[in-house]
Amino acid sequence: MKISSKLMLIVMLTVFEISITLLAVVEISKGAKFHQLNSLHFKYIVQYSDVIAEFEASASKDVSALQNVIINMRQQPIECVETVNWLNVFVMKQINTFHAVDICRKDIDDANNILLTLASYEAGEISREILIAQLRQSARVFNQNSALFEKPITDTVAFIMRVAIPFLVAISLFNILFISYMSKNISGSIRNTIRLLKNGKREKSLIDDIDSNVSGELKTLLNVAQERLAHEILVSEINQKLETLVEQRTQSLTRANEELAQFAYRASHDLKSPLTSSKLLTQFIIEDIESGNLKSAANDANKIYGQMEKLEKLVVGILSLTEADVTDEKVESIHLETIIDEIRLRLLEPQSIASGFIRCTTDIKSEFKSEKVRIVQILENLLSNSDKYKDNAKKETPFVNVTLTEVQDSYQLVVEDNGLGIPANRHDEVFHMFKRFHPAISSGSGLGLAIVKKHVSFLKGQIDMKSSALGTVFTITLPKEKFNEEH
Amino acid sequence: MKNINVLIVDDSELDRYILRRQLTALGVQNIEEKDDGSSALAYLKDYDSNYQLFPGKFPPIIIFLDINMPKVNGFDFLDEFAKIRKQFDFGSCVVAMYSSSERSEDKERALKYEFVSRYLVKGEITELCLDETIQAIIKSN
Repeated sequence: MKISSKLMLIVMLTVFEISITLLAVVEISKGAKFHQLNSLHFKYIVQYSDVIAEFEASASKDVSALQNVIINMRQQPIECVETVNWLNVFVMKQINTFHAVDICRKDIDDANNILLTLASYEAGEISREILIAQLRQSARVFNQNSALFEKPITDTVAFIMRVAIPFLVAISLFNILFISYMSKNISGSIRNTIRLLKNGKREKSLIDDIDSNVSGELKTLLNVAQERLAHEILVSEINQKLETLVEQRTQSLTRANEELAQFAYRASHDLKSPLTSSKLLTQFIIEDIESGNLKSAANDANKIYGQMEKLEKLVVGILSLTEADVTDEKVESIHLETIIDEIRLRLLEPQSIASGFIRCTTDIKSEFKSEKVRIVQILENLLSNSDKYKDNAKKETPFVNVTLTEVQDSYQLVVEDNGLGIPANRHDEVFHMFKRFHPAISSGSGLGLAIVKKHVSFLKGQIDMKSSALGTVFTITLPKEKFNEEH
Repeated sequence: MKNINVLIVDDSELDRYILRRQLTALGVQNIEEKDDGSSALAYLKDYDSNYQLFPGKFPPIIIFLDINMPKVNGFDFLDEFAKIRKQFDFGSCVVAMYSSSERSEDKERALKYEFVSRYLVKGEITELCLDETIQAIIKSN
């Protein structure tokens, strides 16, 4: 049952109790009114008797004083009859006091009759003696009526008092009990709900518990509150996600900015150092020539040559790194063996070519499609690293294996060599710019693997470096979708 | 000037060559080269045998130290050298940084060590300023 219905029931009961009380009061006051009217009636009867006596004593034929008194006297029973309603009729009939109303009616009839008699006397139809006899007779009858009227009214009032008071007490008692029960019931269901909410159960079972144990407005309240809370949690979650996103973006921007600053610093540093060295070496050469030390001069000139070569490599590297950013090559089918053959001829020393340094295996069902320029640069950099950093101390002949396979929706390009590898503690620097791991053996630009990484990112792929039992493995995963989407 | 012992720690062979030549031009003769912080530290820690092995040329008075080196870089070297300085007799040995880095944070960081007296930038060193550096170091000793 709804709380509002319970409260409504309490209100209705109270209204009923008040109505019954008011009705009882009205009915009892009605009894008092009847008594009052009856005493008024007596007063007029006394007056009537006096007027009759006066009439008798005088010789006057004027009956107007008599008529007035009779009309006044008739007024009380009329009022009584008018005051009685259906409820009074019902009650009076039940307790056999209804003859009070009959007495009133008879009184009115008697008054009317005596008025008619007066009219007959005025018309000269009856004699003065008969009139006076009839007047005396009527005065007696009126007196009698009044006396008879008193008892049933007193009985009725007594009855009402007798019945109404216990009835009212009973209703009040019931009302008090019922209101106590209802308020206990309402506070009980509120307490029950609070208990359910306090017991820190999991959300799902709590919702079920509320569903089965709570009803009416409390259930609606909880449901609305739950929806509201869920909405707010959702909003705050969305806000949190947005904040995280902004933070991430800011972080990646900051990182990009730092990388750019680092790049500018390293690039200018690496460009400057061969130039300054060469400048000093040139100065040495001049000194040597002046002092006739031509051998040392030639030696220094060689060093300058080496520096210039290094500088050239660096500039080429920076160029291809920036190119990797902008070049948007078209996708075409690539024959891996062909491009590896080309790289072999272009990069390797003659003895490496002869020894079959590069081995290539392809195991794919469909054609290998990708951006050729990027694939060539990736392989060029990885293969020339393998060539530069051969480990001649190892028993096995130096080799590098290139394997192309298909894994679900991607191509997998694996380049494995048995070279020097990269010191384990510096694996995380592998793809950074200007990092050199074997400066004693070869002074590359330090950009090769950064270029590889950049191309792989542009192809939406991933590159991973691991040390293997043999040496070093680079695994490049290139998704096929990238090309399907565009073509 | 001739009997000053100098140690050059730099991974670049060319930079070592250039510095050696500049020092030689100033008359410095006892020059030892190491290509990494680790080999330099090993050289310094092996105090007694090196003292006997290179009579009059060990220990060095001036160490020219590069920062950017692959295994043990210049700052790693400085940290380690600060520890062994008291242990062995390097109280009169000073370090002059010899780096191509012009970053002020590198310079500040290096000059915080009490035994680092100079910060020289590669390519900007003339024989004149090198001479001044050496004279100042000798005078302070």
